[in-house]
Amino acid sequence: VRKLRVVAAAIGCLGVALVVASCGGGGSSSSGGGSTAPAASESGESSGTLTIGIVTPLTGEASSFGIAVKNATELAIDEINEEGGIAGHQLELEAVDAGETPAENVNGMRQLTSAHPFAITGPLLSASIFAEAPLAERAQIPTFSGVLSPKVPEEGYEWLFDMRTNEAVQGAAVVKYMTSTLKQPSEAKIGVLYANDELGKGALGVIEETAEEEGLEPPLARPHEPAASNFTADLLAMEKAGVNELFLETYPGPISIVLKDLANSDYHPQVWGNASLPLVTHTYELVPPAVGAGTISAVDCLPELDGRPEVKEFVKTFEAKYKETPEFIATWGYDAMELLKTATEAAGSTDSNAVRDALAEIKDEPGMCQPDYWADENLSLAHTTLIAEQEKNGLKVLAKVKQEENGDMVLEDAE
Amino acid sequence: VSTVLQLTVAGLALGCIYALVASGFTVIYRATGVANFAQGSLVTFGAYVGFAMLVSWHWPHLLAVVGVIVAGGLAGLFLYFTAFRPFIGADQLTILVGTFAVAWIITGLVGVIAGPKELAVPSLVGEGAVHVAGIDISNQDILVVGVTAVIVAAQYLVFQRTTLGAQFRALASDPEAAELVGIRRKRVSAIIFAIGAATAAIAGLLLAPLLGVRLALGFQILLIALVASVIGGFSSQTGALLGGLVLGIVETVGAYYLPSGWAPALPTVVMLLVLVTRPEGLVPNRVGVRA
Repeated sequence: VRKLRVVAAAIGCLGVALVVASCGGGGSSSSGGGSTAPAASESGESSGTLTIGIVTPLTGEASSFGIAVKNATELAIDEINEEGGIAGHQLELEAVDAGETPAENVNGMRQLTSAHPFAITGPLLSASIFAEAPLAERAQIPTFSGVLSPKVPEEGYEWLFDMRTNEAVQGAAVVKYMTSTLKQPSEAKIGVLYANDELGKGALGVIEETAEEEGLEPPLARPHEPAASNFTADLLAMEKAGVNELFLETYPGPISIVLKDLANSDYHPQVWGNASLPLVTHTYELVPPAVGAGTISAVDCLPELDGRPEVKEFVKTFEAKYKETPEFIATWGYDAMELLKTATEAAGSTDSNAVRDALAEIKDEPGMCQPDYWADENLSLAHTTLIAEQEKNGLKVLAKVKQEENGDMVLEDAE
Repeated sequence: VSTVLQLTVAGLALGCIYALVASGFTVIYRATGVANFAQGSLVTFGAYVGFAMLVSWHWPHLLAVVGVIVAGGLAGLFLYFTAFRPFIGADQLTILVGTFAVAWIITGLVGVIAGPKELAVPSLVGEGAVHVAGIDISNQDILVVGVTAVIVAAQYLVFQRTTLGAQFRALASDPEAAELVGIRRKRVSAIIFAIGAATAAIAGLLLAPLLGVRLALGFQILLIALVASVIGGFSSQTGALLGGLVLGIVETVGAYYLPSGWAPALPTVVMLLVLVTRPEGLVPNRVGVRA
């Protein structure tokens, strides 16, 4: 019995460790950084080269995303160098593996900021961005991130530029499109199955607000732990409540389980989702085509379906070099370097303050992932969300939703 | 009624997975006194081996099942020879840390070989469901329950009706006395590690079509299987089975009837309740058996 209690205590400790690990860095407080602001603002420059630091997961579960971002960044840097570099300076990429835990991400950022590169790119993890961003702020280094946390814009960072439409924008875009497809808004009963973390809760709030603005009934919301594996109760509750529009505001793992559960039941609501949904149905094909077919999601971009000649050329070059299609989750890495070049040339200097100011003034700059990047007051650069339907043989763009400068979401037909 | 039935059936299938992992955990604990924290990584290992055999190499399903059992058994022997045998006589903590180390090695190797991307494994019995009495029972859930029943029956026969089983029970009861009567402790322990690991690997194969194949798969299930083992009492396969089923059903039914978000706390609540009311677990320890 004593041993049984010892083992029970060990399990308790393991559980606490898990909770602590999953919560680590999730708050908005800054961690103790060791870096200091640079002595001179002409930074990251040695012997005529400018160092670009990238801190992103290169090992562990998230490394498929991180490696893709690194590849896209590397491709842009190669092309920029071939064209003569930025303001006459060649670029040099210094990669730091951010691993898979928030602590590793923060350590990676600390390591990079200490070296004081010209710019930093690569952060992907919402759980650690609130600890990483203050390090970049303190070091005064322009930093590009691909995190989806809707709370990032609220923090008022001055050096962190968000390259992707966040969860809240994506959620609002989906609800906007959903409303346009309804003959009778009163017939829609929305259910939201969301990850019970900062990412899911942030998006839920916006979905609820948008639904209210669109005159829809308040959604039935059910939270789940990000690592949950059993959704029988949630789906039964949705079915009993008459939910016919089911929004999955969660991660790829839970999404694939829910889709399979729905396929094996008599309950078939229209499934909507954020950019994690096409990762399940399209990018990684975690469910059979028949199971994913008919789902509709928000997605930053689909370069392989973009008709612009320069994007076609980008896709071709990327595929030739890396033997895989550039996914939406990585393409922003390429665009970040192009925007950095544009801003530095506009600033006429490599002075970090001047470059930061020029980035904050970016307007109508086309990229491979976005038709036009522009910086809003929160330094979010991406404002167009595609709405795509998963068909049995691929994704089809249904519409695009543009966020205007006044915050309005405008629905446009797919081109 | 159909709602409760639907939830119970889903909980039963989930509980079977918990029970399988808990069963492997319990059998190793009984024979060696070691809490094997590598059990989760063996689940991951089984899922990846299943992916390789079914998807990459297109092995027939039955052959893949046998392959996963054999591979799991070999992984168990690796665990035995690296984390247990060199430390016989050392304190429990040393061996426990050793199992953690081997867990990291197994998961790390799998990650290096298979890569970080999440993978999909098709169900051995195909997608689809049977509709009975107003409830849906997926083919995979039926398979999970069926395989669990077969494994539990096989383990019962091995442990109750064979010489190995008698040796195992003697070891579990009194290792020193068992050695005095000529039982080869190391050999029996090695076989038990292989059986426990093979059980975890099969659980991984069953879990893969439900949750996908990823490196964190086993870690996710390890904690809950440990809780199931504690609830069962760590003393028998019956206890592990009961612990797993109770957890699966309570978790699923509770998630429906309790306010949203409370479900994750249920396993811990059940464990605490059992420890307070029945400190020896649901299936009490018989005289002399390790606990």
